[in-house]
Amino acid sequence: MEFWLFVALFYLPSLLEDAQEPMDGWLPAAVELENLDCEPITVDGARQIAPGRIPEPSARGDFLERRAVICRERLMSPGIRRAGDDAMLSGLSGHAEEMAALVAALEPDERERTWLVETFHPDPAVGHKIGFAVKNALMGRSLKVSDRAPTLAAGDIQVIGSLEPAAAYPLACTRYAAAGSLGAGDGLLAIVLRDRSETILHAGICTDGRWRWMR
Amino acid sequence: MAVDAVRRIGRGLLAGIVLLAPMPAVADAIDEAQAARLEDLRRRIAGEVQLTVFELLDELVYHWKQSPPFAAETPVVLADVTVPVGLGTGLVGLVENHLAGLLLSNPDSRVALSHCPSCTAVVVRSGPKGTVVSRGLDNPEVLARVGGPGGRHGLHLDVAAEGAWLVLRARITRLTPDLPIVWSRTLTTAAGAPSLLRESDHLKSAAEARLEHREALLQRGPLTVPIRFSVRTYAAPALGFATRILETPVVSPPPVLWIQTGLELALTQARAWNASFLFGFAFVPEAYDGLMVQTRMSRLISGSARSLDGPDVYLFLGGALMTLQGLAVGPFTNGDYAELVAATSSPDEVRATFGAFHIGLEIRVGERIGASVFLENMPAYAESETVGDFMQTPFIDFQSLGAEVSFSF
Repeated sequence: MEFWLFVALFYLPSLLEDAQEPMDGWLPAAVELENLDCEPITVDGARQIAPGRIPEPSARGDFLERRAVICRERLMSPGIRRAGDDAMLSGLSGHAEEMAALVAALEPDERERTWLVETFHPDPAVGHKIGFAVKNALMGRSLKVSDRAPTLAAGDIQVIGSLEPAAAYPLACTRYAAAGSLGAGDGLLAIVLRDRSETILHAGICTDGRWRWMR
Repeated sequence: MAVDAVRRIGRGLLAGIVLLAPMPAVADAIDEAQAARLEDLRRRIAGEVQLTVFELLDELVYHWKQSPPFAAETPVVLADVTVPVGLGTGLVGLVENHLAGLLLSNPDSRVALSHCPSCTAVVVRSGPKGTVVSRGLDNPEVLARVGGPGGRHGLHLDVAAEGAWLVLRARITRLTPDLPIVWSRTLTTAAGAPSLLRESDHLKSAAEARLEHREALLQRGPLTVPIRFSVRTYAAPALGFATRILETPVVSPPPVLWIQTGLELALTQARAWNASFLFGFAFVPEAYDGLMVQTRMSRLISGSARSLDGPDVYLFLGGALMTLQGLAVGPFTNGDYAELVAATSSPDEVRATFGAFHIGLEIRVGERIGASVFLENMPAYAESETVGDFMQTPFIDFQSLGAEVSFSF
């Protein structure tokens, strides 16, 4: 009995304190908590952001391991956007930086081309945002970027549209180069959502009529 | 058994039909309710993010002021504005208007918005290689042929909601056949961060604006100590009394200069209501000296809260009790001035004590300096032969007109 009292005295306060913690609380999250974006920050950082909310460390030590989590309400409540699109758009900056990093990691002769960005997403509005973010991310890495869109002839589109993606993208790349739509100094970064149920983006590049999947 | 089975199936089907019959109507009602709820939610979110979007636009133009994207003023076509997926397009119009206002107020950004209907129109070009359908902006060669702008640039803006963050992306494209992007910028702010509400014609950096806001909040102690210089002038007697001048000259009261100080208390955080209690002292050698107490209640009428960067106007009502002594105070004694002067052996024996009620307007800047004018009613001189009326109304007459300059600490 004494043992369990001992355990309760030591662990109950922290268990109660953690009950509704947004990140790893053990009680079911309230509805409003589902709409929060939370990330851990340092305890010192939290003391600066919200003075007084986290006690200053005692001169004798407080013998507690403190953690701080900063939570902000998400702008878009669940249900406003399609779940897959929401997952994609919520991390758009990160996705765009990853795409730009792929291009920046190329050999200098490829990297120094003028980059065109094409997005293949079923929703044009989402595709536009992805393309915009990737172009800005490429510019942020001091790469040359153009707003031009490569074009294909109607016959090419008809043939390419009938192919499986694995064959369609390389063929489109070849036709871009053959038709002169993608010149020797140009490179195309294609961002592709291959399956509507996915929340990751694939990337391929087309240079000199040669197609490569980068991700 | 077979008959029972058929009956059971029949009853089941009937029950199924009965249960399912109203389902489409219920489903429609739920869909409509969900759609209405979503629309409400979208409207609320759009209202919440609007100020934050404006904030980001302010920051964008401020950045252009600090490091202009062009060496000289350059016409730029607003190519497209997109808002977070899920929000309506009403926000687009607000963004366009705010940006246009900012650029007009800040010509040193060197970005001049240009009107170009053919830029956003759909253009069709047929050639040996095929037919291309696009916006004018996306096909500068065609744009040039249809008389589009030469040497201009296109500005693209995109506002995205990423979790709790609102992100503004901007890029400028030169409208030449290869459409190079010549400038881009990504600005981010937490949606929950309070808006800075900078003035469009006095843009500041976010850090400066926050510092100013913080200082303004710190200055908002409820008590301030005003020092006020005021002058009260008194109306000459009306014509009926003036006719007596031929027999007995009537001397009008002189203007009285006061220095006042005391305490002012803000009754609300917004400083919409203030109350003050002041002591005053008047001294003009060989003329008069005096003391006064004054209390006043002020109401902000230029807004619901004190402006952080503009003047405020207050309407005030108050009362004062004044006592004056000296030879110049004679007209306040309501007696014959010549007789009074002849009868007194010392100027200190000429003394007047009276009360007054005033109403006026005060304009204040930054809770530091203010100027006001007021009219004062002095009940003791309502029928006076030596003090006239500046203004007469059916209910109350004002015998005194005053002006003040205040400094608050």
